[in-house]
Amino acid sequence: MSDVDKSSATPHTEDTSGPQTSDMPGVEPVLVADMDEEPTTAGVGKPASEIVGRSPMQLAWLRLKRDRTAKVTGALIVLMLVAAYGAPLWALVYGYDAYDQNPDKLDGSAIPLGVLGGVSSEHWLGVVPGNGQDVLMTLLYGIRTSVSIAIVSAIVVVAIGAVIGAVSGYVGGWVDAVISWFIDVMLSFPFLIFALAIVPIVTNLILGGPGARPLWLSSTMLIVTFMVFFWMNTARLVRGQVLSLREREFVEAARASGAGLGHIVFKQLLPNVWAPILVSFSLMVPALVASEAYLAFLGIGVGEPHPDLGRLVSLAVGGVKAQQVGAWFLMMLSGGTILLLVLTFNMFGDAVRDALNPKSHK
Amino acid sequence: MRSKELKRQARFIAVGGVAMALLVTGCAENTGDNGEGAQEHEQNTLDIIGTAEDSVGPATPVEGAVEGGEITFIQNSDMAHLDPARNYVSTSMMVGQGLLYRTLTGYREDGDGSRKVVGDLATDPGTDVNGDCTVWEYTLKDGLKYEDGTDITADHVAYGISRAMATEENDEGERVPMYPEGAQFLLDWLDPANEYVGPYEGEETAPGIAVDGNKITFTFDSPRCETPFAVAMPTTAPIPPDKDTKGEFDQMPFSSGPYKIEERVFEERTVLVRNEHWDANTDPIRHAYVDSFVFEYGTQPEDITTRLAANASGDENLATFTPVDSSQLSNIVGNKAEYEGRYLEGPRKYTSYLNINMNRVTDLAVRQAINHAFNRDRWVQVNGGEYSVLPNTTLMGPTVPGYVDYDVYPYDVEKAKELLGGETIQLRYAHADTATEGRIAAAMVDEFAKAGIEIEAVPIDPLDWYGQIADPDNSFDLYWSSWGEDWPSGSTVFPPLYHSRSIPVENNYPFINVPELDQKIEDLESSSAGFEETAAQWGELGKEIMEKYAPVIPTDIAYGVWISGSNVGGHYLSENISTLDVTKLFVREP
Repeated sequence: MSDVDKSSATPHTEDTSGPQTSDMPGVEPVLVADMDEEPTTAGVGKPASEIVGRSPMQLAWLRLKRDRTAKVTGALIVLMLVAAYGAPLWALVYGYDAYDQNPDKLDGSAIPLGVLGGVSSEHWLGVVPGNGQDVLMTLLYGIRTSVSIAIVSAIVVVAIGAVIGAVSGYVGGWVDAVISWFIDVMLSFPFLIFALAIVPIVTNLILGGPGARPLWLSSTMLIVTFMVFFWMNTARLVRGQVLSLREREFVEAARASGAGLGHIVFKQLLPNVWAPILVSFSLMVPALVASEAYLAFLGIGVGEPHPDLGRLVSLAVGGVKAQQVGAWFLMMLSGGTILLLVLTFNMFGDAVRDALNPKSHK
Repeated sequence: MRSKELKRQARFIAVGGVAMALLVTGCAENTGDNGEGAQEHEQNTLDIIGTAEDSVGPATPVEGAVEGGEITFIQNSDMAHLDPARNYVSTSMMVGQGLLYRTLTGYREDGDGSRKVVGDLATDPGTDVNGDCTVWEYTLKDGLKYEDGTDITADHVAYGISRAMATEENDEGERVPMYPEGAQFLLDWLDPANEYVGPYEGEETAPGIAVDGNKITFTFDSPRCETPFAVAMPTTAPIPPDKDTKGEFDQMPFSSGPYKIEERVFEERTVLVRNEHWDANTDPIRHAYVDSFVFEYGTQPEDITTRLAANASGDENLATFTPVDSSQLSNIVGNKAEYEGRYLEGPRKYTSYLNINMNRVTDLAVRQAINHAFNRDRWVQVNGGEYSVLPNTTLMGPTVPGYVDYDVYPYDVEKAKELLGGETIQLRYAHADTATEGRIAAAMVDEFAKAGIEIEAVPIDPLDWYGQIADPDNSFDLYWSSWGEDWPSGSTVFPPLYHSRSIPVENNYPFINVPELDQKIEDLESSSAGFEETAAQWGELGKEIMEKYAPVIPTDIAYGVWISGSNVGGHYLSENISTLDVTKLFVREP
């Protein structure tokens, strides 16, 4: 995807400069030639100031900036987020927000009147069957719900995975054995069945009996569900990296000077594995967007009246099966929105991975 | 009759068939024009009790019917119960009473919309011996036979009823009914104190029953003018004592009707074949056009509709009691012409209400305001339109003789605000935790807000719906329930729904507890004035309850649409059971 390698004529130097054992970049700061400029024979007739020190983060950023995929998908993401998070503002101009019901735009069986599910100059993408909310606004609000849950969950998931992975890899012995075994157990857990069964029960327990489900509660339930079921891959990845780091001198030095587990994990190890963590995060977001959508499709997500993409797809698919006029358009729109979200986040995540790890093959 | 299952359950959606649907749907415009619209129910006549002449067989022939062939019913699950002492759910009653066993009286529906209670085993709907409704006499017809050719006797009818009252000792040493699921009316009338222990351990015949040759007499301690209806419930099916297999009878009842069970694998399939000993000339109600009926279980409602609509080769003889699934309703009714000859629609007897919890909403003005603020049109719309539910404003539905049409609290937001004195109130609205019910709840939040009523929508587990709302200490203010009368009289509507003795065991979900109302209900129940007079009084009582107490919001009447395979003829909506009338079906080309 990225064309960093092809465009830079100079061989990369950062990996050879450090005593790396893995293909992971950027363990320690290194000196490299400024990649923005035409490579020169270093030092000849040039002031030494042209040789600048760059952190691996800066290097990665530079690579990312020159990646066309990253630029396009990044711009798309920014555009979608501005549209989604600004939706309440657009609603002021547009005249409807996602909570406004328009039963007068529906026929006697609550199916949108007119063509393509009620497309009109008032409702650019039609209205939702049932209660007649504006589809455009529902999509924008839906993106907001979806992305917010996905990003918060991804942060939590990756943080937990990284800490568990680092501890497991560093401490080793029976702790590592137990954690690895636990990871295996969690990976073989039937996530969907568990989520479908437990989420409603736990929600009711928290509410202390049947009660209205506020948005914050359903969102939190989803975040916790993802937290429980998505940390394992990050943990495994980080554990692998830490295994290769823990015998290194700086770790030994820290240990020799009496640093405790907390210091070594948080101050010595994790800062040196931020690259896989960042990659993990950027690919976790689209995975969680998709997961949130299918949980909502199956009926556990943020409930009515809060807009949700997965629930919208479910409604549209029902309409298509019943051969409701215009339902296919809603299905395309809602499904397409999820597709676009997941695709852009995924491609951007890939670009981030490439930027952080130029040796990976595409 | 209880409509125990919550009619709108969670729907699981499969993605199959989407691509094909896309092709056919194209870019059409929805003009909202749905043809002529759903059918209103015809006003019911008070002349519903038949005569001895009406009770003579054979039944009025179905036009175009021919004999022979096999019809296969596809259903989601097996019949709830087939034992006549336990059979109290609509489709099971249709199979039980329509095909397998006969009762003292039954409903003769000639296919023209008429309905009369007539003698089935008995020669007439019953003789009120003293003219005060306390003693009822039935004489059995001649030539009645079971599936093995033996005679049906009055003793067997008495045994069937007594058996339904059987009790057993539970672990705590209390006597509990062995067959609690069935209709209790006749049993309670015969033994109001619940002293009879049943024929297994006590007297062979229950108190109040006397048998003399082919005559059976019921003696009650208060007037029971609706006995002709009460003995039409499955509990009066005859059972020879030596054929009583107790628990197993539920699986393999001994047949006195036109069909007998040939094969039965629970939750898999049931095969019924002709009972050669059944004589059509003794039966004014049933036909037996088809050689055999097969029931197959395990098909989801949505898939039943899909399969019947497709009418694939080999599926032409399929039928079902399951109404067209709501997800496909608009498509089927929108293309009625395509289903001509295999399509049936009509209002059902199930009326629905939003109960107002009177333990919590104690102020009458508030309950009236809630009624005024209820937008019934929106309710019908969001429930899927008039082919799903018809708007209703009465406590006793139009299928009941004596029906009075009234709308005490028409939709009027200003009136509602006025009654609330300009204040806003908060209400907890319980709904089943499904996508459809969630949308309905969202619509109600929107509508009630217009009158200053803030609705908090509380999703609850659909499987435990009645368990949750039947609790008088529940924490909800508004919740849905549905009811269909056991027989066409207010006496099977008002006592179970609005008498304080029905809290919490019966269906008094608004928990209305007014001694004055209890008294009125009891007076009507034990009135000796005769059916025609009390029928109209029940209708008026409904209006009075709405005016004085406003315990519920009457919302709708269920509407049903059924389709079948193209080779099945004789579709008729049984008024009594409110589903496809199985006795009138025939195979067009056997």
